[in-house]
Amino acid sequence: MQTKTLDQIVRNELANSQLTLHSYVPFLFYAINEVKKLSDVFSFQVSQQELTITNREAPLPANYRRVVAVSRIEGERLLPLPYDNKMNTDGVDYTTDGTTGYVGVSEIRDDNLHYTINETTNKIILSTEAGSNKYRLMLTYESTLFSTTTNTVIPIIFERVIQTSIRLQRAKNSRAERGDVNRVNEILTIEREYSNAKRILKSHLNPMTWEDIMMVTRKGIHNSIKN
Amino acid sequence: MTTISKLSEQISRIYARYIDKENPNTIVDKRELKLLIVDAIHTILGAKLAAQSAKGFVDIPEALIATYTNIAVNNASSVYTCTLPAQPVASTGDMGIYEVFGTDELNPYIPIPKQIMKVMQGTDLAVLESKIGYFRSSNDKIRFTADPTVTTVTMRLIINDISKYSDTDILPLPADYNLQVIELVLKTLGLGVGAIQEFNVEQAQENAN
Repeated sequence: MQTKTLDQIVRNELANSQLTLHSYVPFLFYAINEVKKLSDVFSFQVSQQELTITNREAPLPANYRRVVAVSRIEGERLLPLPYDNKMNTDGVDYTTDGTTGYVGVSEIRDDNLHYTINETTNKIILSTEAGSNKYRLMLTYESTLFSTTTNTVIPIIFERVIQTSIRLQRAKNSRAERGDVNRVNEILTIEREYSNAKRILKSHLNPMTWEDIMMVTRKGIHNSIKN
Repeated sequence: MTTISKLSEQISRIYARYIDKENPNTIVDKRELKLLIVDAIHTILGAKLAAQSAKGFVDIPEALIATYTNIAVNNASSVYTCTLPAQPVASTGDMGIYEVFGTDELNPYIPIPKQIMKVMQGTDLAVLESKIGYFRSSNDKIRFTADPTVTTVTMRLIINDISKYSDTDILPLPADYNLQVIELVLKTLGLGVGAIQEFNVEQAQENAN
C-alpha cells in the first residue's frame, strides 16, 4: 500500500494555501483531529509482536493502543484466537467448589485457547491451556498513532479526506471576515469537497473486489433472463 | 534601487519645496530622516503582513528578510535557547522570526506560535511528528522543543536591519516601497510640525515643478 507521512500531507496543504511553516502547527492539529476520527474505523500503524508468556499472562507492548488479533503461530500461518469477554481479567483460575447447579464455565474452558485483555495492568490474559507455554502466540495490534520518534504513516487513499478536512477546519476557525457571506459560501463549498472525499474513501474501503462485483452482476443478469 | 542618502534627500527636497517653493533648503535633519525611514519601512511591512494574513496567504519580499548566521545555541540543563540578534517586526504567529535552521537550509525547525506552545503540552500535537520546533520564550529569546543537535543556527528575521547598511549602500528595499516610504515620512513630518495637516504627495510634486 502506497503511503505518505502526515508531515507530507500537512506540508502539501501549506503549499496549496500559499502559507509558510508558521501555519504548520495549526494545520497539524487539524490533521491529527481527522486521523483520530478515521482511526475509529481503520487501523493505521499496525504492528506485530510475539508474546512472551509467563504462566497465563503476557505483557502488552509499551506502544500498544488497540488489539487487532491474538493468533497462534502455526508454521507460516497465524490462527486468530477467540476473544473471550467472560474471562476474568485478573489471571486467577478460581476453583469451583460446588458442582451442582450452573456449571457452564467448566464446560467451555480448556476446549480452546481464548484470551482477554486487562488494559489496567496492560496484560493479555490467556485461558488455562496456555499455562505451560504450549503455544507461540503473535499479537497484532495498533500502536500509538503519534510518537516523538517516528512519523505517522498514512495510506494515500486517506490523503484527500485529510487535506479537505484541514481546509474545512481552517475555514471554520478563521477569524478573518467572520459572518461574511462569501466566507460562508466558501465553507459550504469546502464542506461539499470534504463529503465527496469521504464518499470516495468509502468506496476504496469497500472490501468487495472487482471480481466480486462482476460475479454479483453476472449472477443478477443470469437470474433475470427468463426464456 | 535606492540608498538611505537618496531617500533622505528626496524627502528633504520635497518637504522643503512644499513648505516654500521659492527657497528649497534642506531644512530637516537627515539623521532624523534616517530613523523615520526605517520606521516607515517597518510600518508598511507590518501593515502588508496583516493585510495578507487577513486574506489568508503570506508573501514577504525577500529584501526585507535579514539573515544572521552563527547564532549560538545555549544549553542550560537540557533547555536549548538562542538569543535573537535583532528585534523583528511584530506579526501574527511570531512570523517576525521567519526561519531558523541548523546545517540544512531546506530543513528548518518548526515555528510554534507562543500562545499555542503551552496549551498543546501533553497532547498528540506536542510530539510534532517527531520534528524539532521552537517558540519565542521571551522578548529576545527562542527556545527549542528538543536538542537541535547543532551548536549554532542561522536565523532569518523579518526586519530591515538598517544598522547593516551605510548611507550610501544600496538599501534592500522592494522598489514599490520607495514612494510609500517617502509618503509616510512626509506625513509624519507634517503632523510633527503641525503646519501640514494632511500631506499630499501629488501636491508636493506639483510644487516641486
